[in-house]
Amino acid sequence: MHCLFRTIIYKMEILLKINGTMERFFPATEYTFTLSNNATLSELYDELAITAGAEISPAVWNHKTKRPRGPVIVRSDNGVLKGENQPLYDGQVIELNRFLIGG
Amino acid sequence: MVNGYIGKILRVNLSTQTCTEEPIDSKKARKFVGGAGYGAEILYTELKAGIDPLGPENKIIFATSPLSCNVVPGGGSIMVCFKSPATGAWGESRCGSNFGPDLRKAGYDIVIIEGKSETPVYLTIKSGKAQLKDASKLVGKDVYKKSDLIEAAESIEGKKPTVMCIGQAGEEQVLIASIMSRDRAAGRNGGGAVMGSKNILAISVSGKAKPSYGDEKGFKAATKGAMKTVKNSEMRDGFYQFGTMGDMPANDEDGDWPSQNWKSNSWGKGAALFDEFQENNLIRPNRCYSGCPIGCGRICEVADGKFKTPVHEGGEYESISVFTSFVLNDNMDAAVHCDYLCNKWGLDSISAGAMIAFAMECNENGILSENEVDGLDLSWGNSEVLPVILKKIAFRQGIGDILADGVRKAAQTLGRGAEKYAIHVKGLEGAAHDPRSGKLLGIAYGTANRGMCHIHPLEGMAFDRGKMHWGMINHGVRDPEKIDRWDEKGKGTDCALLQHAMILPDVLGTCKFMSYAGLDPELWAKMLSEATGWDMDAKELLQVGERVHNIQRLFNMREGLRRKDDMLPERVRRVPEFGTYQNEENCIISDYEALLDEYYKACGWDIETGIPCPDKLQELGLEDYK
Repeated sequence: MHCLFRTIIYKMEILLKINGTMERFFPATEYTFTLSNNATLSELYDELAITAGAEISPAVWNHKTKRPRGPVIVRSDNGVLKGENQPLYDGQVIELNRFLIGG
Repeated sequence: MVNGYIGKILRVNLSTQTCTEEPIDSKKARKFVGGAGYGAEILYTELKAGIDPLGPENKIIFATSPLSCNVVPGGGSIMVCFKSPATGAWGESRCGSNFGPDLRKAGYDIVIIEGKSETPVYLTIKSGKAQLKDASKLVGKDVYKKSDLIEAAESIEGKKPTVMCIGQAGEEQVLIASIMSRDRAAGRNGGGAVMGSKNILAISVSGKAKPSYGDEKGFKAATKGAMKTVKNSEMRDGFYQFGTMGDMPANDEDGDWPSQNWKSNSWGKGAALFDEFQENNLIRPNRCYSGCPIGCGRICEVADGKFKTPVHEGGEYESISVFTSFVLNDNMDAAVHCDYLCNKWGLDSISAGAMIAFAMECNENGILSENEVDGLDLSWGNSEVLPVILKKIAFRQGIGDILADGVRKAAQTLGRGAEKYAIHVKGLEGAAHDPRSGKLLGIAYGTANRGMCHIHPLEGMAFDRGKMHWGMINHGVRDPEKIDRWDEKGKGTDCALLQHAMILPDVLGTCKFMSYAGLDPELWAKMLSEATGWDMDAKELLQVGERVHNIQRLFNMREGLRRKDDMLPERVRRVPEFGTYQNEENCIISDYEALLDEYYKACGWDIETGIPCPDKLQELGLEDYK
């Protein structure tokens, strides 16, 4: 018997750039991730944790929650991405930045 | 009458118990604007060199500017200026609260307090009417209780006044005592002791006065635009979400977190402590005055246990750092508790934490014996001893009586080599940022008029580590993105130029954090011009900044300070003893003298002495201030 349906898994490619003063906290300045279609920022963080998590400085990365720690900004398309449920799209370039806040 | 100003100065003579009014001088207003600018002009003109900071000859000035109002980003500020009893030099402190705007609503731009009252009093100003009242019932009460009592006594139709007061530490003339507006402090330089020495315990303000504006519509449009700039800033989100403690993990990693009385610039526990505060102590963000677009304050508590506190505003980076990394305490509850006690008793938390770290190191090295410390266990990291010794300082009990005089005097009193462990510049204890994280902070610490201060006038570490320029690359400062944090050459000049800009929030009676969120000299000049009707551009405003920096410098020179007083403590010029940077030679300043030479040259100051040169004074219109 032949299968009538073929499962098609769409994939998309995301480029993550580590910018500015954030660079010294990461082992690399660029990462390319292949994520499933409709993936969100949350899944990007999960992938980042697998790929580089252990080497990212705890100054900007919470190794327990596997999420950024403190004032980290996620930018894309000249805007700021807020919330982890932001859907991503194929070919999207995402930048991680941080800034120094006074005190 | 000068537009933008209420137009009046209140002079309170405590010796004669009289309150008199004087007009704002239009020429001085244009030259010095307000806040720490106009305040510096008054103190320079009216004080004689060498006076006792705790004597009746000293004066304490509460000063606003035309931008000290709730609609201006950061306008909820008051500048307090005086001769510091801790340093014997220029003293100034800023407090973020409604007090500044409400002082103007009460009818005055500036209050000058002079003389000494024979009995304890407080000053109340209601709609232009000033009165000194008996404060005998306030004596011995803490900041919260004093505030409660005055608010109850001075309310009008249920509306509470805004109060600034000293706690018990100020009454005891502790040289690191602050002046408080509830949980907000004018902390540094010992202004609380100056108030205590004069027997004035509090000031209460209320009213509805409004200034006339040069162009009211233009002023509204300019402030609206500035507010929009701040609200759209990504920095604003960071301040709001994480407070000033948000940088603690990165400061630790970057070597900008003085640890164990400056033995190191990192400890390795910054991230864990930050998480602990976020999870266990933080309740919500808070604004220190009505209308603040940032809200960097934190409402927090220690819910239970031996360090329990009421819900209060705290959790500020500096305060938490001095009660953690400075003393190697990894109990966040203890740090939050100590910060609360500083507010309650009216102590400068930075200096208080620094004093405990100093005492611990003196104890470690046998300078303070167990008997001398009243049997306390001053081991590093002993969280339980922190509130105990804090109380001794606030009430001048036992060893606290020596520590209450600040680190320079305490070291002199103790002798036996204690000076080695006293980390200060000009007598002011260093804040929780380390010049071994970037060289510009080193020169800023050395040359700040009020001592080893990270924020008056410049947060130097933000240039090297955060690549911030606050709009000043349009005015001669190099692009920090193109400069390595370990570089030295050129930073003396950058520091001078940045100081002239970053003193402006102090002159304008506004909050420095707004500069992080996009307000630059152009926007400040625009708002000030619309308020006053002056046609002042950024260039002229920056010259005001330079002028104020210089008159404060002249104040210090007149007190006998010289180049030797611009030196950094030996310890912060040494490779850290432990932590991330213990093998990093680049982190230490290789030639501080050369850096200072470059800085003096950029300032137009004599290389040998550090005194402003006649040509520079002429250029700034300060030739009569010699």
